[in-house]
Amino acid sequence: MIRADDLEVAFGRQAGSETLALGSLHLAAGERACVVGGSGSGKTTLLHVLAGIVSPTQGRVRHGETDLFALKEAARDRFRAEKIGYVFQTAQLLQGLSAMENVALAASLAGLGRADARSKAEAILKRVELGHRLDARPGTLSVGEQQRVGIARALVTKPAVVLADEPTASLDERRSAEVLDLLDEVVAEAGATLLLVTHEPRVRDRFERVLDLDDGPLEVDS
Amino acid sequence: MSLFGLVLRNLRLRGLSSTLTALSVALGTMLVTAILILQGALDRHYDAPGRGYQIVVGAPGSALQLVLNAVYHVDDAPGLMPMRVWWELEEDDSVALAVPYAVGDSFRGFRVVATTDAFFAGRSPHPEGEGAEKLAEGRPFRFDRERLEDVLRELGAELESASAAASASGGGPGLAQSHGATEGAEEEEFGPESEFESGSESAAHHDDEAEHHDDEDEHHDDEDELDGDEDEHHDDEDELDEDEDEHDHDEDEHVDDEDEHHEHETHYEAVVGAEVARTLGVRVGDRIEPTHGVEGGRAHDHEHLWEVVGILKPTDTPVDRLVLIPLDSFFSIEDHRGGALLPGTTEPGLSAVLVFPRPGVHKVMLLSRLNRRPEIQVADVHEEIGHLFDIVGSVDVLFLLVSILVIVVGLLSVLIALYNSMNERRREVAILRAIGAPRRWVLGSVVIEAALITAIGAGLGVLMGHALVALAAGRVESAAGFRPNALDVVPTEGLVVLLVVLAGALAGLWPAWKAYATDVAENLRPTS
Ligand SMILES: Nc1ncnc2c1ncn2[C@@H]1O[C@H](COP(=O)(O)OP(=O)(O)OP(=O)(O)O)[C@@H](O)[C@H]1O
Ligand SMILES: [Mg+2]
Repeated sequence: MIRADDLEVAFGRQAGSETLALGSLHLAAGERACVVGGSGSGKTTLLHVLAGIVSPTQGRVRHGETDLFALKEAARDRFRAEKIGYVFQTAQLLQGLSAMENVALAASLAGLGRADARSKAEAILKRVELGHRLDARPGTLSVGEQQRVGIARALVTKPAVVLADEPTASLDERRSAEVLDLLDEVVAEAGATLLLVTHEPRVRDRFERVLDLDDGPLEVDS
Repeated sequence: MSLFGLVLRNLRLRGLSSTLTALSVALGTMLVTAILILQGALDRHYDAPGRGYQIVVGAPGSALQLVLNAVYHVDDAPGLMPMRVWWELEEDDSVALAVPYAVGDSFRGFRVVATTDAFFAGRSPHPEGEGAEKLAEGRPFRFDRERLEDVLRELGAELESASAAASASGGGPGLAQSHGATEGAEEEEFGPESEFESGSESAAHHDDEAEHHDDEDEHHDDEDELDGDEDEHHDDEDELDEDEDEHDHDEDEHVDDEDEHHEHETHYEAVVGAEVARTLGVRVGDRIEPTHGVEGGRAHDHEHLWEVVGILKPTDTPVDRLVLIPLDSFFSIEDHRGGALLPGTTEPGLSAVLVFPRPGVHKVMLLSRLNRRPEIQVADVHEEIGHLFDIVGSVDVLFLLVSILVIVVGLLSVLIALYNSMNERRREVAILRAIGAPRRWVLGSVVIEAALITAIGAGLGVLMGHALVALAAGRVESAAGFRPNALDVVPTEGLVVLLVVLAGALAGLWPAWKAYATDVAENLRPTS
């Protein structure tokens, strides 16, 4: 469960510089929702704040009982590693590491031992139908395959929350649907809350709950 | 995937850059390592072996050269000093022990030192102990002072007869020099294989040769200039033959006197250093035949073989590489008779006398007394070694500074390489942070990478330093008189590696700080 209230983010160091009001957002455990809005409306920034990557200048974020920004930074990092899965627009895999190592790295950061991390990584990669490409380098994978590795990496720790920032923006329609189906399935299997950013209508249509940042700061009942 | 695994992957990913920076660290470490090994070898060669020695007296000239020759057995002896100074020193109340040295011979590349039983006295520092305690095997050689005096007396008389003969044959006191001139020719004839054999065989061999030359002697005078060397050689042989006759005559006399003691004198004794024994496989009871000249010159008359009666304990000093023979035997060889006298006189000479003063003020008194004498050079061993180390030390420090500078440049290149790579790495750092890597972790990965690169470089550098010493050993030996061992491990090597790695980690701190401070949100954007 996520409870974000009266979020406001400021950019730049000087006081009185540009601020972005994001508003409030409550998501129940296991809920799926999508965020839409024009370019620059603050979709990515909202995900960053919910993931604890960007600190809001105002408001707070609670994941379950945890007040994210009351934690010290290192604890927040650990919380992110264990409880939050983040899927990027492009897969953002680390070059020089195999698909398996990329996924296992996320598991290690969540505190899993080496062998455990590897077996979990292997399992989730099999789940996203990449069991045959465990040792492949990112560069040798297709864009769709890379994104599946990215999804596997986000879900290897069975996080409570999955945040996905335009995960299909760089895929064609068919691949896009496949990846979204897969994402939906593994998120459901993990029982995770999903918040997905998109500007594509056909992606937005897959969601019952749509949060539109173009209408001004989000409100709890929207 | 551990932190260390990620670091290794970073190294692999930037393999060329990592290798080059590691090599630049290796270069400086190599130089420092080589210098440390050389320094250690130098210390071992000049510092420890010099301990225990006090004063060296020798021919006028360079005091340092005198010490180098008499204590370290490098370089040539500056010349000859009057032997009577040794006798005076022996009588001197300030002197506890005086050890005379006559040098100039060698045995298979090892220097021969003619000395007395004083060498085996307790005060004589290397090897430690007194008498048989100095020996690993066998016993000290027997030194016969009476015979030395006999030989010397005979030498004076012979010199006169020799110069009388010289006026007839055109030779004379310059004989010692003519030996030098014939070295090349002689060497071929008396190859190394003939130097080390049983006495009877070699004596027979010599007789044959001598006869052979006698037969041909007359013809040679008529032959062309190319045979000039041989002519001189034949002169020698003639001399040898004369001497043999005299020798036989002596023995006859002794038999007449029924002096059994003197019968022992007819064979010579030698004591060899530990390294000589080890390298050449010399054992007690073997007979050896020294050759004239330090650099493996010509053989003496084959009549004279020295029986090895003892092997010194290893000392890790130049003494290990010496062959010691009694002074009386040295002067019995006619090769030395011309050279054993101070030029133009009938005074017998010595290369040096190692003087051990009685404790207390005696050393100072002795030094000031001896310094007033123009016919000798007095060297205070510690002072001279101090001078030597001042010179070598300042060069050393300079080299070390340059090498450290090279290391610093290597470390800077580590810093620069990592710093530059941080631009391309920012996105990676942001990804790592987004999936939960803490800042400290990111910082640590860069520091560890820097440390690892320097560790590889330093390790490689140490190996390269040893290799460098191995390559330079020959040059060092010919220049400095000692051969550094490339396999010597200097304890400070470990310290150097540790310091270099620490400095490398420190150099990594700056780029690591950049990684630490990376703005995650900014660098996650697809186009950043
Ligand atoms: N570091 C920053 N400094 C200044 N302004 C920023 C910074 N990061 C974001 N912004 C501004 O915040 C606003 C929201 O940016 P954000 O990236 O969240 O938009 P978005 O909705 O994700 O847009 P898009 O659909 O193009 O990805 C934009 O106006 C952007 O210019
Ligand atoms: Mg965005």
